[in-house]
Amino acid sequence: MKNKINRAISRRLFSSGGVIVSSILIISVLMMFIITSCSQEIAIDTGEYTKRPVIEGYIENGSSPWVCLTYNQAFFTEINLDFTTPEGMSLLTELFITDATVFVSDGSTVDTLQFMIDPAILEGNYVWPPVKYQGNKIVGQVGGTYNLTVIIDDETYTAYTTITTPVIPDSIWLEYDKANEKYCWIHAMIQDNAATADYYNCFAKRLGRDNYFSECSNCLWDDTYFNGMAFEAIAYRGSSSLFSMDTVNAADDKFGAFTVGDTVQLKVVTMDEGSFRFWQSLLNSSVVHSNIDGDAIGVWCGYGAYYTEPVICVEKP
Amino acid sequence: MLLFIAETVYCQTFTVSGTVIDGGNKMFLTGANVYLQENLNGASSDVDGFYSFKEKSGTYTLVCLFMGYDTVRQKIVLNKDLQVNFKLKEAAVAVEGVEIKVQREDKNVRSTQVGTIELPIKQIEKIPVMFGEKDIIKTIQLLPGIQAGGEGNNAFYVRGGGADQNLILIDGATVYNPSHAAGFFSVFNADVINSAEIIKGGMPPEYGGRMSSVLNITTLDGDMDSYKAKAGIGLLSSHAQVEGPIQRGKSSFNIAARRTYADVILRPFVNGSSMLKGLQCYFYDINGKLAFRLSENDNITASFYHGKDVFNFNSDLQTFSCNMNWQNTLGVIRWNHIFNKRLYLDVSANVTNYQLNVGGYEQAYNMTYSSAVTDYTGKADLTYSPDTNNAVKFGVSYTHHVFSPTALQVASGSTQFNTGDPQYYYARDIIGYVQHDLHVTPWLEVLYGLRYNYFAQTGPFTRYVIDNVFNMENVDSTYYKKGETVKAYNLFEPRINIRFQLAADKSIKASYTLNRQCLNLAALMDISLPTDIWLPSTDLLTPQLCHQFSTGYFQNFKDNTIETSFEVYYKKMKYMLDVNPDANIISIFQTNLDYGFISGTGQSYGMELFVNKTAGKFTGWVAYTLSWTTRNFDEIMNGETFYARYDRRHDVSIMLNYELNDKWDFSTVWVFSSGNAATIPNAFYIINGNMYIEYGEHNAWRMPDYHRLDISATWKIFDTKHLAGDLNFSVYNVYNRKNPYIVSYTVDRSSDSNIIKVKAYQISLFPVLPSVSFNMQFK
Repeated sequence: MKNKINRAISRRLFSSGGVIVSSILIISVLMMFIITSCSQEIAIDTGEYTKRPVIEGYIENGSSPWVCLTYNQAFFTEINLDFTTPEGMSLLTELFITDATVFVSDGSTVDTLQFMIDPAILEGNYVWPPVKYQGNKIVGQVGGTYNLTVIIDDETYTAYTTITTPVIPDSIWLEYDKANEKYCWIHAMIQDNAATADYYNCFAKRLGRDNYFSECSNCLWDDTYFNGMAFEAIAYRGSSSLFSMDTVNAADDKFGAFTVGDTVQLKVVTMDEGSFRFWQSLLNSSVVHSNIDGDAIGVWCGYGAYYTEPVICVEKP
Repeated sequence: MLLFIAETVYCQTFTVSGTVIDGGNKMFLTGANVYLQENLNGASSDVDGFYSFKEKSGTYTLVCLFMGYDTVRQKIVLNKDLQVNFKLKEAAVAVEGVEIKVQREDKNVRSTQVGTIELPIKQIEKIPVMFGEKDIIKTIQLLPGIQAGGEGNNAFYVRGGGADQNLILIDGATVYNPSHAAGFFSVFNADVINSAEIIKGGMPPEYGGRMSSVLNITTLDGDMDSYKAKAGIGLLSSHAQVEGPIQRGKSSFNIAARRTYADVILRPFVNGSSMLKGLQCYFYDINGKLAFRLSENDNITASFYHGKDVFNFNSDLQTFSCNMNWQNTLGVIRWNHIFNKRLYLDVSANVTNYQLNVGGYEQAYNMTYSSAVTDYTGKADLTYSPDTNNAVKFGVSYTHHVFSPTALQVASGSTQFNTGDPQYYYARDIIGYVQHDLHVTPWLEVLYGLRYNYFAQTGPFTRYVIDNVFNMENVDSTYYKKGETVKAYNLFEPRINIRFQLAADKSIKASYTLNRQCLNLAALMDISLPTDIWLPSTDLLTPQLCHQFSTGYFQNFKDNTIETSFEVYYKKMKYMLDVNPDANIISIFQTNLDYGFISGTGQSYGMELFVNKTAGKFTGWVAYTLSWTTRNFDEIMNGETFYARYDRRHDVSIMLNYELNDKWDFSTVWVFSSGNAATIPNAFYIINGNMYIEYGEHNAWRMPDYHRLDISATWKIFDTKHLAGDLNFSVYNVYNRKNPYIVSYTVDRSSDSNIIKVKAYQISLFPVLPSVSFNMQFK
């Protein structure tokens, strides 16, 4: 976790729209390493902040929608992840919004999402989200448009999203680290559709190690740079989230790389422009573009998802 | 009738003019004071050693005075125009324990210019510096009204203006990036600096193009009589300088070079797992100058500068690497001609280029990026002094600007991305000015004038029309062919400086200036970096505008050996630029980069106090600035007023130098400044299991105060007829103050804990840093 800031910087590396900023960050970070003589912890009075709901909701082809609702927190708020303790449980009510009304409509069916707690957290495991609102009446369809309505303390927040056509990689292969062939990255060749504006992202899950798909670094792209071309996407292993837990050989992992022996499943997604603008601004801009109507942070995101066959990271032949 | 003729002769005025040169090396001396002992009327020599003034007929003692040289006195009978040329001899070495008392010049009080400081080069050499690298910009940052960019940073901010609002000139050519090593050193090699002057208020019409200041640096001509050399070895760098005659008494050369080697020295100490492994980081620069004295009235000089920084990082331990270099190159040819005692011509042509190249690599992903700006300039200035009370200067210049702010190539594996064509911006910049220095009465002098600037963005250029949300569907465009005007601006800049002489040693001055600035620096980070991009004013970017009012009280004490000033100023700025926080970088790279900016206003006001002891064994100054600087941008905080990043309430600099004897010099610097304004996070939220930051009010938080003490001692080990050597010992940050550079945030969660907490850390750059350097001079 000490590397969180560095990871955050790396997440920005070469991501869509962050190219120049990234290079400057590299240089700046390196300069810091070179000349930094010391750092000391300081106390900062950050002043007041405006409490706002954070809405994070997804629907993808073949799955029912789910939404996680939280509040933003004062910057130096401490989070206790152990929900088996009273402190951890109290977080549930301080951080997470548990009494909202959430429903999703596809134009004909209205699905009222039910609040649920992931039982794993009660056994001391970390998952994201630990609590959520889960639907069960609507299953996402490619081309479908879905409206989200969230009511929190009599305030109503709305959004819509569309599930775009998924893309299937033409081929997938491994690239090994020249310095240490124990580590590798996954390449996928994807053909972009010239006729449409397309937006991509990629997630990876090490089967048996990760408990959810983490977002790969540098895979958030729109096709402005490669419209109509076959482009080579490189999946760098995403960083662990605050709520995930590496279980096997975590200390031996190389940042951004998969390790020989890992079995990795990729989830390649396409999304609509509103969803993309949110993720892009989250990474690259000081102004975050939410597609939620109302004074809330967050995104209602439709994914056209394709899950690859598991990729086994074998030793370099 | 005879009485009438006698009266006419008595009332006639005549010109006294000439040049002042070093009698040893025949180099022109800038800033020598030539005056009449009887009434102190006189003038200072300019960068070509030329002086000229008027006086009524009579018998006088003409005095030529210049620090470090024997003072010359000469009786003159002024019944016709006189040309008196001075060849000064260097002053004899002071006898231990005896202080040589000389009368000092009173330019501080008598000049019309407010907010102008001529930097004492000799003093700069004695100021303690980091790693023994003498640096003129570090000295400038110690002056009132001028703020340092931060720890070790060479950017400077004048009276609330941005770092891009300073016109920095070497021999008349613009330097676009005055920094080496990302701002830790300046491009100015102290071995070749002849004179340095900074104008921060009351900018006369001959200068312009920037809103805040002019830093005018001239380089030394080579010795026309004998060969000389200097060399120095420091912890980080070495430098050498050679000068001498090409043809004795008629022409000379002067060449100087520096090279850093910190990476080479550190390499043996870098172990296999160090972050420094794979790092290559150095800079070098070369200055050259040729001087030709064609006749008593004609001189030609040709000067050249090239400096390059290299920063490469290629390590097996990291998944990414980068290669980066940036360089300044400039050349100037200059001819000055004295037509007669009243008319003086200066003609020059120069080329200046700044270029940046960046390469970033992460496994199969790679990116290269470059930007450049090149200026081709021709200019002519004519000085005409018709009589005692009038001096008129007028001039014209033409500059052709070529900006190449973006050339980007990105590849992911075998896929070469479409990043758009390299963007070019061309501009014509025509200047005309006239200024009149008028002595209305003995106690009132007015310098006023007008500067006119025709600035036109020209083709070839393609203007894309995109909307506010950078939607790239169905983008229209207009093409302008080569030389076609895209947008032209006619800019008029009136200026006036007034001096009220209260007594021989005290005066009040006031000034009003209107400055326009057609070149903009897009700073992508909060700190100045070589990656900052220069762009001209375009049809989207209106030239920046600044009104400045300033006034001050000036008084000298003890035969002008102590100069004091108290100045107040107010600046109102419009059309200031900042990076659009909402810009879609891909879109602006594929269309026009000038879509990436927002425009706003700013204001700054404050007071400056300066006490400067310029002579004696004990010299130095105290500078204090109290100031406020604010900005307004519609896109930031909904247009509400916020403090500029470099708004600092208090800024204090104390520089003291003590010359113990002919062997030892001691000096010390203490600086204090209120903390920078900064925007800090005030909340976080969680998306997809990761924390993201929400920022509070723009620049509403203050970094901790900055203060630091440096000391230095110079031991002159030997000084013979042909060879001199000294050792300089410096200690930077003596009391190891942990000054704030940046504040960083870390999400702290140890592996055996379930507690997640954000912690704030203050990063400090330089602890106490001792250094030693050895300098040798071959005479």
